[in-house]
Amino acid sequence: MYTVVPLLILFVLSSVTAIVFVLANRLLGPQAMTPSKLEPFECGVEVYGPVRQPLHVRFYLVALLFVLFDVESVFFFPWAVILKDLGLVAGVEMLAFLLFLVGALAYAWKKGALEWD
Amino acid sequence: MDFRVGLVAVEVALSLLALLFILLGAWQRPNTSPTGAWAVAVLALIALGGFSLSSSGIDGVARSFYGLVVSDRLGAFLGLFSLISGLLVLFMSPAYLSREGIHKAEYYGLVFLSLVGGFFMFKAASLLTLFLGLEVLSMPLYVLCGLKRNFGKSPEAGLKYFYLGAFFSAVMLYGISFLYGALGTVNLEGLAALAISSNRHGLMCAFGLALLLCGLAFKAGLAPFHAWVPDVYEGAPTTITAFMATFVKVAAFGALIRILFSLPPDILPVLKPFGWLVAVLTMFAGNLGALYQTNIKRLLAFSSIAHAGYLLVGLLSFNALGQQGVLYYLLAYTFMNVGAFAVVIAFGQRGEENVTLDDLRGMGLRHPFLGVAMALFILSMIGIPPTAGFVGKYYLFAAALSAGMPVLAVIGVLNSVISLGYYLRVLVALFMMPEARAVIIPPKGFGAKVAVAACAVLVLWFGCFVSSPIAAFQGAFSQSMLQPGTIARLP
Amino acid sequence: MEIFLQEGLVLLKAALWAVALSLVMALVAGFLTYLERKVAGHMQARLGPNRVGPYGLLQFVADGVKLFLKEDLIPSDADAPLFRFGPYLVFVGSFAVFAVLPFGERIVATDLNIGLFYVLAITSIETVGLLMAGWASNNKWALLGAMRSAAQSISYEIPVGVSFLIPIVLAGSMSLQGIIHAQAGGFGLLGWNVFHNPFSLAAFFVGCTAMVAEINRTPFDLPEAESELVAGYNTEYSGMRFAFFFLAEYANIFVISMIAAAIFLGGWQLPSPFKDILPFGLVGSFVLLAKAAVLVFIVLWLRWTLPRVRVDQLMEVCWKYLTPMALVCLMGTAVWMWAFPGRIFFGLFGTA
Repeated sequence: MYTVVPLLILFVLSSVTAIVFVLANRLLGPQAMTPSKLEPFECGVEVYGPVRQPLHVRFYLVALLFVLFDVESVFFFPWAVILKDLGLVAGVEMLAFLLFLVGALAYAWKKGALEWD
Repeated sequence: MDFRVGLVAVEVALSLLALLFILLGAWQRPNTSPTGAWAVAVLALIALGGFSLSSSGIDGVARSFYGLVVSDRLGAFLGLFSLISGLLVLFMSPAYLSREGIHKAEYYGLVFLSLVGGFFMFKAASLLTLFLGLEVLSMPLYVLCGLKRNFGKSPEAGLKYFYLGAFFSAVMLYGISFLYGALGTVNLEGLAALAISSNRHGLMCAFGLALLLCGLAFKAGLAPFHAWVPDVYEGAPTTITAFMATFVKVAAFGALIRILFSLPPDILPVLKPFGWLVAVLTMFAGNLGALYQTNIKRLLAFSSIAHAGYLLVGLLSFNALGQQGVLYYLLAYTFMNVGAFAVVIAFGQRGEENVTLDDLRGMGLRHPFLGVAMALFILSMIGIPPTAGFVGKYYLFAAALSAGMPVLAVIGVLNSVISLGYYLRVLVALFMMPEARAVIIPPKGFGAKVAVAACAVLVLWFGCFVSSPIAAFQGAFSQSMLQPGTIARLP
Repeated sequence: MEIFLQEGLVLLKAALWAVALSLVMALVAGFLTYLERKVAGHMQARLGPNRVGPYGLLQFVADGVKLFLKEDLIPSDADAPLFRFGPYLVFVGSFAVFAVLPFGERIVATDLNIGLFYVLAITSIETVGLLMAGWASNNKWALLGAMRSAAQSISYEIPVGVSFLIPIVLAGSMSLQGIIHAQAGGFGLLGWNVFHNPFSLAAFFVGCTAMVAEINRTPFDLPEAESELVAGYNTEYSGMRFAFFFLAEYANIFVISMIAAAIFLGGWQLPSPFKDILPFGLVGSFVLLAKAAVLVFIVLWLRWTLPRVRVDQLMEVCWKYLTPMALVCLMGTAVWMWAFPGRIFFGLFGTA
C-alpha cells in the first residue's frame, strides 16, 4: 500500500505539471495560425496522397513476434525471483520451457520471419 | 504431491516430438515429403498407445505437477482413444496431404501439440489445467483448419473456428474466474463446495458453472453452440476434419465428464433439465440438418453433432451403464468416423474433392473395397448390429432407460430413425445409382487403405466382442479421481 | 488519529518526492542536452555552447524558456485529441520510471518489490505515446517514424527483459535496492553483477546495447533519422509538446544509465572503507551517480562516433544476435547458480 500510493501521487503530479506547462506555452506563445502553417509538413512540397495507407505486413509480423516472446519472457520473472529457493527442479523446468522458446525462435528465424526485406 | 514427471511421460514425449516436427518443417526442402517425420510420428504414437494401454490397468489415482494433473484409468483410456484417433489420421494423411500439396512436417507437429492439449484436458485436476489444455488443443487446430491456403473454404474455416473458439475460450475463462471468486479454488475437488445446501454464493456459482459448461459445449459441438461445426468441418482438410470430429470430441467429453462428476449430488437435479434440453436439441439439430445436405463432409459434420447428442444422453444418465456407454461409443465413433472420412478422401482427387452425393454415385460397385467399408461405417453410425455403433448406442439408450429417462431414450431412438433418411441416401448413391462421372482413381497411398481396413475391422470387432472392453471401461470410472462416493450417491 | 497522521506523512513524503523528482528530471534532461552539445562540439573540434552563463552552462535554461515562447500548433488534418494526448503519455511514462530509481542506499521514492518489472512495463507506455503522436499527426514522416519506433522498441524489449532477468536471478528479488544489496560481496567491487560470472558480464553488454536501442538513440535512431525522416514522430510538434518528447528522450538516457549502474555495476556499492563518512549513505549516492555519468557519457559518445544502422540490420541485431545471446546468458546464469551456489567468479580462485 505504502509503496503504491506514492506512485499514484507521482502520476497525478506529473500529469498536472505537464498540463500546466502546455497551458503556459499556450499563454506565452504567439497564436498566429495561417492555413499553410496548418498543413502537414512535406518538405515544402504540396501534400499529395492520403497518409493513412495500409502499412507493410512486416510491422504486424514484428508485433506478433513481440507478443509471443514478451508473454513468454514474462513467465520468467516470477521464476527468476525464487530460483534460489527452488533449486534444481525449477531450473530444469525452466530450461525445458526455454528449450521450446529457443525452438520457436529458431523456427521463426528459419522461416524468414526475422528478415526485414 | 510434487512434480512426478513420470506420470506425464506421454505428454512430455508428445510435446518434444511436436517441437521436433515443427523444427523439421522449417528445414524441410520445398517439394519434398517428410516421410521420415511421418514414420517417426506413427512409431511414436504406436509406442505411446502401447504405453497408455499398459497403464490403463492402474488402480487408484496419482497426481503430478503439484496436483494439477491427475493420472487415473479414465485419463488413460481417453488418452488411448486420442492416440488411436491420431494414429488412424496419420495413416491417411501422407497420401492426402501430398495430393493437396501441403505435406509439411509441421502438420505432424501441430497434430501432436493438439494431442498434448487434449491430454491435459481430460487429465485435469484443476480448472486452469483444463483451460490450458483447451487452448493448447485449439491453437494448432485453428492453423490446421486453414492449412489448404489456396482453397478458399479452408482459410475461412480456420478463421471462423479461431474467432468463435477464442470467444468461447474467453467465455469459459470468465466462468472459471467466477467459480474461483466464489469458491476460492480452481481445483476440481473444490467444486464439491458448489452444493446448493451449503453454498452462499449461489448466483455467482451458477453463472460461473454455466459459462464453463458453455465453453465445453462449444468444443464438443453441442446445440445451441453447434453452428460452427458444418462450416469448419467442410473447409478443413479432410484428415483434420476426421481428427477434429473424433479426437476433439473425446477431449471435450473427457473434460465434461471430469467436471460433471466432480459436482456435488444436490446440484445435479438442477442441471439435468438443462442437459436434457441440450441433448434433445443437439440430436434434432444434427439429424434434421443432415437431411438437407448433399455435401458428404457437411453431412458427416451434422451427423457428428447428432452423435454428440447421443453421447450426452449417456452422460446425463449418471449410472454405470451410461459411463461404459460413453466410453464405448467414443471409441466406436472414432473408428466409424475416421473410416468414413478416409473413404471420402479416397474418392477425391487433387483439386476435386468429389464430396457431393452425386459424385459418389455407383462408386460402391466400381470400388467394392471402399464401398463396402463405407457401408459398414454408415451402418455403424445408424446403429445396426453387428457393428460397434450398435453396441454403443444400445448402452447409451439403455442407460437412459435405467436412469428413469424413458422420454430421452425414445427421442434418441426416434432420432436414429430420422438419421436413416440421410445415411441411406449415401448407401443408395454408392450402390444403387448409375455412375455419373468419369472413373475416379483412388489415391495410391497405402496408408489410407490401411486406415480404412483397420477401421472396418475394428468396427466389426467391437460390434461382436463386447464384454472385455465393457469390463475394462467399468473400472475406468470407479478407479478414477472422480469424487469418492459421488457415483454411489447419485439419484 | 495516529494512523491518519501516519498516512498524512506518507502522502506528504510522496508529494515531496514527486516535486523533487520532477526537478531532478528537468535538470538532468536539460543538463544532458547541454552535455550532448558540448561533447559533440569537442569531438568535432568545436567548442559547443559557450555563450549563456559560464561555459554555456545555462544554455538549456535559455532553450527551455524559448520552448515556452513557441507557438503551439496543431495541424488542421491532425487527430486533435490523440495529437494532444500523445506527448503527455510519453512524458508521464518517462517520468514514472524515476519513482523507482535508487539515488542512494536510503534515497528512493518508492522501493517497489517489482521494481525492474515496473521499469519494463512503464517504459512500454512511451511506445504507445509515440505511436499515438505519429499516427495522429497525419503526416507521412511522423507515421513512418512512429511505426519504426514501435517496431524497434517492442523488438528490443525482449533482449532488455531477458537481460534484466540475470540480476533478478542472482539477487532473488525484483526490487532495485534488493538487487544492489545482493552485490555487496567481493570488497564492493568483485561482487558487482557484471563481474559475477561470465554470463552476467555478457548480459551487461547485451542489456546495455538493447537499452540504447530501446530508447531510440544513435546508432539505433531510425525513428527520428533526421536525414531521411525529417524528425520522425515529432515532425509536426512544436513548443511544449515537442519539449516533452525531447525531455523524455534525454531523461531516458539518464534512466537507462542509472538502471544499468544499479543492476549490473553494483549501484551504490563501492570498493572503499570510506563508505560511511557522510550520513544517509551519501557517498554511495555519489558513487552511483558517477557510475551512471560514465554510462551517460558512453551513450553520448556512441552517437558522435557510430553511423546509423540500416533498418534490416537493426532487426537482425535484435532478433538474431541479442535475443539468443540474452537467452544463453540466462541459461548460463541459471546453471551457474546451480553449479556454484552463492559463489562469484573471482571467488572461485580465492577467498573473496
